[in-house]
Amino acid sequence: MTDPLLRVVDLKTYYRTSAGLVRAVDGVSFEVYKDETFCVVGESGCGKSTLALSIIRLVPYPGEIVGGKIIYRGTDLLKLPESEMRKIRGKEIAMIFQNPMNSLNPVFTIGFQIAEPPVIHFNMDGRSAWRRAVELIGKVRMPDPEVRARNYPHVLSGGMRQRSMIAMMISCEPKLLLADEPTTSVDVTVQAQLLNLLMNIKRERRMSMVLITHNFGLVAEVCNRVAVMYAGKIVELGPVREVFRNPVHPYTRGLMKCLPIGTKRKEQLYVIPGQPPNLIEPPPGCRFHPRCPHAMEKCKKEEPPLTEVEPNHYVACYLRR
Amino acid sequence: MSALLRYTVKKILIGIPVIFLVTIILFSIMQLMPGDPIDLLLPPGSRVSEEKIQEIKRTWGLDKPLIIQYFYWVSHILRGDFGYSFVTKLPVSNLLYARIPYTLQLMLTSQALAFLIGIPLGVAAALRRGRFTDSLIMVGTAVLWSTPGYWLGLMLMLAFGFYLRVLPISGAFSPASMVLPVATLTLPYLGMVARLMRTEMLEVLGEDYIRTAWAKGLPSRRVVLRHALRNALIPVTVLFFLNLPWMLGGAVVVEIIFAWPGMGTLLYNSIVMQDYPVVMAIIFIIAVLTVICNTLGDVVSAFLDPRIRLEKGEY
Ligand SMILES: Nc1ncnc2c1ncn2[C@@H]1O[C@H](COP(=O)(O)OP(=O)(O)O)[C@@H](O)[C@H]1O
Ligand code: SF4
Ligand SMILES: [Mg+2]
Repeated sequence: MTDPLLRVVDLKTYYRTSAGLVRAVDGVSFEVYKDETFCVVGESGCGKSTLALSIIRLVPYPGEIVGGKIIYRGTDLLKLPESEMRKIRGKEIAMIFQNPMNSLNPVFTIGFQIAEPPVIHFNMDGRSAWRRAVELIGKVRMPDPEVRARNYPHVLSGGMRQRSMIAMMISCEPKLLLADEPTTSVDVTVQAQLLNLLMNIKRERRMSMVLITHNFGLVAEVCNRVAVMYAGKIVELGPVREVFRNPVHPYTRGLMKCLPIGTKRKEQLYVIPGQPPNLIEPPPGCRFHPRCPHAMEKCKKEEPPLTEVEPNHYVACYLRR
Repeated sequence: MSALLRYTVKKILIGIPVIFLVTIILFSIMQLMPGDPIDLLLPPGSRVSEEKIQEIKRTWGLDKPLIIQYFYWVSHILRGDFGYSFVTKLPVSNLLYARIPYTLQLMLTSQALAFLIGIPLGVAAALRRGRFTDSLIMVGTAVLWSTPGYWLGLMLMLAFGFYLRVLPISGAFSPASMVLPVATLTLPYLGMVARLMRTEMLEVLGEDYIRTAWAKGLPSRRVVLRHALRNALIPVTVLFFLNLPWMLGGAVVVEIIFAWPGMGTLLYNSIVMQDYPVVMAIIFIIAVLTVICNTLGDVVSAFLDPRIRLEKGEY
């Protein structure tokens, strides 16, 4: 394969809370290639959002990136001064957030907010930027773009706000889009539409995407490769077909068992027993061992390394060896 | 009609009955006061013919039932005619016109200074949260805010008037006369504005939409001064209006301390000398000012915050 667009190497992001050090992302490595959709999947609280925020260096206080590299087109973003990083955000790498209700500024029209990045990054004059915003609003399939551009966020539905968010984040044609559970908090009936839109735009503009989700079903539909995250670490990583055909890690298998199949009703669905661990004092050895049906003595003491079980398919588990 | 205009009209329509309620209360108090109401209307002690008295009674409707009298009275005060002062025997409105500019000068200068200084202080503290500048501003404003105005006034008088002898301590004879009264009014209030500004700014800076602004790659100046400040200023601007009546209250005290020839000293003197028409007029003005400021506060907040003027189905 060609050089990756993004290479994350042994990334560690911790939150220094009063309760202790939260190891939200604890030694994560992966690559994202051009035109690829890379999925990160895992239960809530396993560090997915923190991972995405680390990539654009917007981890909130008291969080801090304590180690690793984030190499974007040959440059380590963690070494850039803040002023250079600002030129990357929104222009090279953009991010769509999970909660569209609070992610738009209530006192500015969405047209203004969509027009803003080109004004900043390309020195575009206000009038052209506004025209472009109206175009983008049409692009994300909102009816009456001229009218919508003058709307304030609070009059729009969750789905419409998320569309505005997409328009805002693609306004400078970024090469990499980080989408943090972009459809989770919108109405179920529009989730599929929104995902389709996102994937179409991604394809059309030839962007790469990191799609974060806790919905394993979504992964099969849209991704090229998938990383399964558990308690701040990647436990399985590989091409989607491969991982679906041959899931190795017991956690991945558990997630797949959770998928609704056929006409089964929701209450009959399988759930992985137990809770995700506390990231202040994660279990020693394999972090999944307290919930793992196959746990061995070794699992409780030593941490299994991420190893290649088949070409390009990596797993961190002792089971297969 | 735009949502904002409709909202404004609605708020004004709510304000008007409140002002009428105030007039009813004032009118009732007047009825309960000893003496003939005609005494309130004639230049006191003046020798007036019986015909003249009858004529005045007719124009004021004093020969009519109470309810009609009330409407006559309201129509007079709405035109600024508050009758005559018992003490000076001058029309109350003349006394007021002479005093109001002084009070406004004191109030508005203090109000403007408190906001012009308090807002940047609050923003600076928020941006340097937890660091030395922040602690310094927080301690300073806490001290200012918890200082009673009259005590501060007396201390300033003592320091600058008696010991240093650099500033006049009473009257309104030169621009320097304004310094101490304005300082007394401004300083505690400035502390409050700065603290509110800091709180609001910190809250807004933690909002998701500010993270969005950063994610767009906006420069920090723009994120802070445009996206955050624009939101954080909404409650502070509303405070500006809601606090004007309190400022007037503070001005009354400060005027008395510094013998500033405004409405405050007039009110004080009139109460002492039981000059009811003057007291009534000033209370009426304060009440009306309060209602107007509340309405303005509502309207301005709707102007600044599009969420407030939201009505169902409105875009
Ligand atoms: N601002 C924060 N302060 C302290 N801890 C945080 C903060 N944000 C996230 N965390 C912790 O970091 C861990 C990972 O959170 P997050 O990245 O949001 O996970 P996910 O997106 O997978 O749900 C969680 O244990 C969470 O409690
Ligand atoms: S390493 Fe052991 S505990 Fe961890 S997932 Fe594999 S079998 Fe289970
Ligand atoms: Mg998340």
